[in-house]
Amino acid sequence: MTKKLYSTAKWKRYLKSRQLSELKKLRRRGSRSGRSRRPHGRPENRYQAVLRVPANFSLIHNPEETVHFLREFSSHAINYNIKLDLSSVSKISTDAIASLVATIRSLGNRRTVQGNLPQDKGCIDILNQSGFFEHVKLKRPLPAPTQGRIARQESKLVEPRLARDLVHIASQALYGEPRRCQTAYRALIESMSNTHNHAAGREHKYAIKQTWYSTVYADVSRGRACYTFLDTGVGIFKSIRLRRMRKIYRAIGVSNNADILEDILEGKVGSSTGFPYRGKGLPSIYNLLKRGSIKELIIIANSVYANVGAGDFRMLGISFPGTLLYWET
Amino acid sequence: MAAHIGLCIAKEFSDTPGPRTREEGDFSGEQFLAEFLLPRYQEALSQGTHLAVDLDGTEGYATSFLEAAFGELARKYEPAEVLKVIVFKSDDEPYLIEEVTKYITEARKRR
Repeated sequence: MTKKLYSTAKWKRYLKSRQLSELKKLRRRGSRSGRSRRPHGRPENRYQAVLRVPANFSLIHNPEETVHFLREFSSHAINYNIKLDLSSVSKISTDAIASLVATIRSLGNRRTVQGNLPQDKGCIDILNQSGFFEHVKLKRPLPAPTQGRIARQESKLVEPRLARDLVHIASQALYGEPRRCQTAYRALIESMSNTHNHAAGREHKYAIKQTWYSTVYADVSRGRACYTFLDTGVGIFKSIRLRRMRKIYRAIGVSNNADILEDILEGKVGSSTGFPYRGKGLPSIYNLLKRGSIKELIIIANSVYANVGAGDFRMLGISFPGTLLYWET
Repeated sequence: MAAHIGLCIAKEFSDTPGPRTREEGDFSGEQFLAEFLLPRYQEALSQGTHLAVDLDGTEGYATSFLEAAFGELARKYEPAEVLKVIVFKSDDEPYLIEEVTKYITEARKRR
């Protein structure tokens, strides 16, 4: 009877050498596991990136640094959990807070976001009163906000009741009773309508439910109600329909989107629907500013920053993902 | 003509007027036109009276609501006739009368 092939001395040597070789490979892999193995499972098992929030965290006053931070946040969140370091924040505004909430909420349950509080007590108060902690968990609870709210809507609908509630929150904080403010109400409804009609772009008009945020904060010390409307859609300039010559001017650099925004506000750019009686939303908000009903109007859309009242229309070095309108009454 | 027929938007329709079309959201200009403005306007026309539209008492109006209601009415009927029949009241925000009048006169304007 002959010996089985795999039990011969030659095969035994061969199998032993393969066994050792595989064992070496396994040990090498084991020693590198800290660097090379992808984290998996629950989001808290992922690695954490620490991001320092700008000292002046405000889109309306410090747009480039704040947009840069928000973009950095989004890009880090692709691979990492985020830890926000707010300790050095000394100035903060509700427009940036709303944008931060939008960015955090866009992550869903894929990542965890942790953070500390600013050292500045005024900033903590604005964070709390704006309604930020209704969207972000806090270990030590703070008193419920009475001066503001960040309302998140995932729909394409205009919400008149919500607009009324926001207006009443501000007037309650400022005057001690809910009052009507037709100016603020109009600006909110116009902003919601714009989102319905434009934020998803022409191609996806009927396909995508757009998420938008409308916020109010009553700045009691200044006696002002501060409203922010934020949609994370394609932005104004990707959704409007420009005439051919204007497209050429923009392409060759004779005009830019900042010039186009000025023209949109003046009502010189027709509606994307083609109907002459449409497209009056932004011009009507601008008219409220001209009439003095709105005290301040700031628009950030794609790479354009416009402090409309101050006549400051300029291009940013970085593009904001969506459209933000900020006004005060 | 005496003002016999009245229409108070806040009391009869909604104190929170909304967007242009029903598809966009609640209390739209399209809904207001179909359910209130158009029937009352036709009633006023048939009786040979004015239609007094009271704009006061609401939270406010978006331009699209006003245009969809009054502009659209002026696309169905002659703008001059609409302006003759309707009488506006707006003590809260007097500029609204001028604005609505503009929507009516420009309703049929082409590009």
